[in-house]
Amino acid sequence: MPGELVERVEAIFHEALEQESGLRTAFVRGACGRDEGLRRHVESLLALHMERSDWQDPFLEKPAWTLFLGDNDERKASLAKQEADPDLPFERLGEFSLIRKLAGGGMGTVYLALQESLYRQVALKVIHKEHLGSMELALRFEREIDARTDIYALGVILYEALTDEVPFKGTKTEQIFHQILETEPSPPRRINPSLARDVEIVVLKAMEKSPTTVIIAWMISPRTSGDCAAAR
Amino acid sequence: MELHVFVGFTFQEIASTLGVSKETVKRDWSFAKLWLRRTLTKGINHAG
Repeated sequence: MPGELVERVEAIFHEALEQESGLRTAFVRGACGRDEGLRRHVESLLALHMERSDWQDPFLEKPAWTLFLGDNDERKASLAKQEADPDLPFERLGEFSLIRKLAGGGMGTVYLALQESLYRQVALKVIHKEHLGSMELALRFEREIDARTDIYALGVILYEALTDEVPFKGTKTEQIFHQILETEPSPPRRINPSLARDVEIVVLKAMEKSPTTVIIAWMISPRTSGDCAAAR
Repeated sequence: MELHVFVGFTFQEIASTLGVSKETVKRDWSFAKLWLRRTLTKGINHAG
């Protein structure tokens, strides 16, 4: 759609709206002259405008991210209701205020926390004191948030795209976090038996919790199909 | 459209950013929304 045409349609559309409703058709015909395409554009938009006089409808009125995270005010109100566990060792860490402990392990503890700059709940991993200053651990943490994070996310997206179900379900954020940390998702082929076994392997590999190996490349082709082990 | 839907700016913030009046932003916004709605409901060849 050429920008010039859109501009012409828009100009005539707005001018037509300024006319009395009974005179609009004649105005549009006059303004568009012999350009039938232009006239059809303007007329269809005017018709739609008249059809939907209530332009306060919610279509696109809220930023796209609210579709995923919910309305900011609603989210703030619901998150503000969360009371922090009084037994937490500390209340906050930087911009993260702790809500409750989710899981603990040899290296550290994972808390459900509120990230205040974005007003969202996150899983916050805090390493144990004895590991502080450990270059090895610091490097491990850095590695954990490298491309593997993207691969994990890709695995989750593939899982949902192939099964029509999210891998971890729950009504509360902490339930879902707990599952992500502690449980394995149902194998995709159990939900969608028509799925190729190799594809399932790739999805589960991408979502592995402690990935020691990374899929370097995966091409779905007759050559690679059936030889997924080679891709790992 | 991008500033409102993807960045989350209010009409006033868009007006300040683009250096136009809030009324212009609102006018452009309703037209863009109408155009999009038409495409979404009637397809690309809506005017044909």
